[in-house]
Amino acid sequence: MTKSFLYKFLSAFLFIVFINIANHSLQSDRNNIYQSNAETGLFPKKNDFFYFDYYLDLYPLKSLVKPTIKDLSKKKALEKLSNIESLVMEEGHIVRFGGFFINYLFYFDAFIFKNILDPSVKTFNIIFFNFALFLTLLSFFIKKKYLLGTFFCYLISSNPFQIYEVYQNENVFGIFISILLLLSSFYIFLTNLDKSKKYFYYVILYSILCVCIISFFIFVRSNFIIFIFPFFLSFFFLKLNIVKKSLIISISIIFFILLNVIFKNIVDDKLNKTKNILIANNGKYLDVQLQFHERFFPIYVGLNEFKTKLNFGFWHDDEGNAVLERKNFIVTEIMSKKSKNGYNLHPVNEIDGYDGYFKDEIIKLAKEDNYLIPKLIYNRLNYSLNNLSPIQFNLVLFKITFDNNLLIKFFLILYFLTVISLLKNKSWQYIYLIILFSSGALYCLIFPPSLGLSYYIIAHYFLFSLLISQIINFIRT
Amino acid sequence: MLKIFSYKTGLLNIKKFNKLDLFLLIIFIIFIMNPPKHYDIKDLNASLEQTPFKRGLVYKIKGNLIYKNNNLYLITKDYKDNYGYRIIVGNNFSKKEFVRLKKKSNKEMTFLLKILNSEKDIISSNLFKLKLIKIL
Repeated sequence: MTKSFLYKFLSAFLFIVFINIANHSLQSDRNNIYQSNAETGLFPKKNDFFYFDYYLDLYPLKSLVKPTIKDLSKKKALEKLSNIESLVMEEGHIVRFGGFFINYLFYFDAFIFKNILDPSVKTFNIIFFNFALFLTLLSFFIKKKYLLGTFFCYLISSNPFQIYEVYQNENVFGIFISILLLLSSFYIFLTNLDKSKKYFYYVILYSILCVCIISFFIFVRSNFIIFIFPFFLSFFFLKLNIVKKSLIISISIIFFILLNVIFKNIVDDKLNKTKNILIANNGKYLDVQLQFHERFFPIYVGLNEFKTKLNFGFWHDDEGNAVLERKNFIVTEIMSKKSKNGYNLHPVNEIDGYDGYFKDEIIKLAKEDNYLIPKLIYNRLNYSLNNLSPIQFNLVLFKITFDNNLLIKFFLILYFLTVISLLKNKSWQYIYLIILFSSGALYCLIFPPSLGLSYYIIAHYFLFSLLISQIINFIRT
Repeated sequence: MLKIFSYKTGLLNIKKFNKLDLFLLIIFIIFIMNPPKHYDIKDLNASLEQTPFKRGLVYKIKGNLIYKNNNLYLITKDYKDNYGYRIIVGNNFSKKEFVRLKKKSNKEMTFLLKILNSEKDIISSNLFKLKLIKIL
């Protein structure tokens, strides 16, 4: 590495770090309107279940007598464990709706700031986002795309949606873009090594890293499974012969399945360990199913996102519950009941084939109107393109935001022309990065983008940076 | 200007574009110029985003009066339910009623808000809905 390279890289990195610190300390996006309103993600009281996990490796478990600052030791945790009547394994259904590994994200706050009683996921969000940003910047610099890398990372640091999710919101939505950045940096590093003799081994390392990251985060938020598609697609953009490609894809699939089994076992082991302790001491063990989440329910209630002939509302739980009521299941009645140990019942457990009813309903509606699904996909794609998070230049004390409708459309046309140009120039690495940064579009096709899901797409930041870097390069020469 | 875009990699080099590209471009322009009609959540006042509604669409009607999932709410610092600082001022409020409410003039809405905010202490939501319909 030359001095000039280090100088350039450090200058760019410090500039982006400065913008990020300013964002954080000034809370510059506290009034941000670019938010995801479709998802719940992290339930507010989920960190109550961290205390016993931290000291005794028991999860999910919490004491109804909230631990205080005097209880911050393993000895005290054991004492609290002996007060078996105060222990519960669930509250409402905040644990049962998945995201088991969110608990591991709290460890960052616990280790760094000793925040064990009320850990925040923000610490992880900030570290992970900045780490991913650092790697992305470094990868672009190693590729000698200084301007492109700096602009892209700067625009991502100014992205109002991401900044809000990372620095303001206590949730896990900011992880999506951070993972995208991480995967892109791995890919760019790899494309730099394609002339190396050990290239094949680097590709194996790349797949192992990506599979580990994706698998882990699937247990944080199951929606992250969509990263599987761009990951496997990346092999088709790498300089490898077909035999080696097939071999690596096969290894990755096996490793992915294996890792998922291991992670599932970790969850099950912890659950059983916790449950057995409560059973042995006549405690209130969880006597309802631990892991569940609706699948077709959100797809069904999102069908009427745009004006259609359907005679039900949009994104109301009541609309979904009405389907069950037609099958003689009263959801409110089920939800008002408790299990033997006093845990809330949930219709997903209690109604056999819960998701099946919604699946059947969707198929029935699709058969009645053949254009329903194609029209919905068309509209969602259109809406997503027209409602991307805005290009914003964050200048700390003020911001320049391009959110004018006409300007957005003009940019879209420029992006379209750029993509065509890249295809004609056979710039496959850029094409892949655009596909990767558009992964959020997959999410938008399944769930309603009008609730803020279109902000997960960041390909336009990359295309905008590409255009700006071209213009600056021209002016400089 | 064209030279700018054709620098080095020939990005956006117009000379390279053929009839098919032009056709695709026209299709793309038609596509993006006709966005579907939808609920526009960007109309919301930024401060409303800080309200406790994590899920579902929230419509601001005026001031601290909002509509969500067939209910009318007043955002207030005086009352707190399980979800946060809000009070139901009308439940089972149909979309027709909501649209009618949205069409009210500024003056009428200011008057309505004044009544709602002054009488929130005695609100029983169902009774109040009847009262509200009378006012409308």
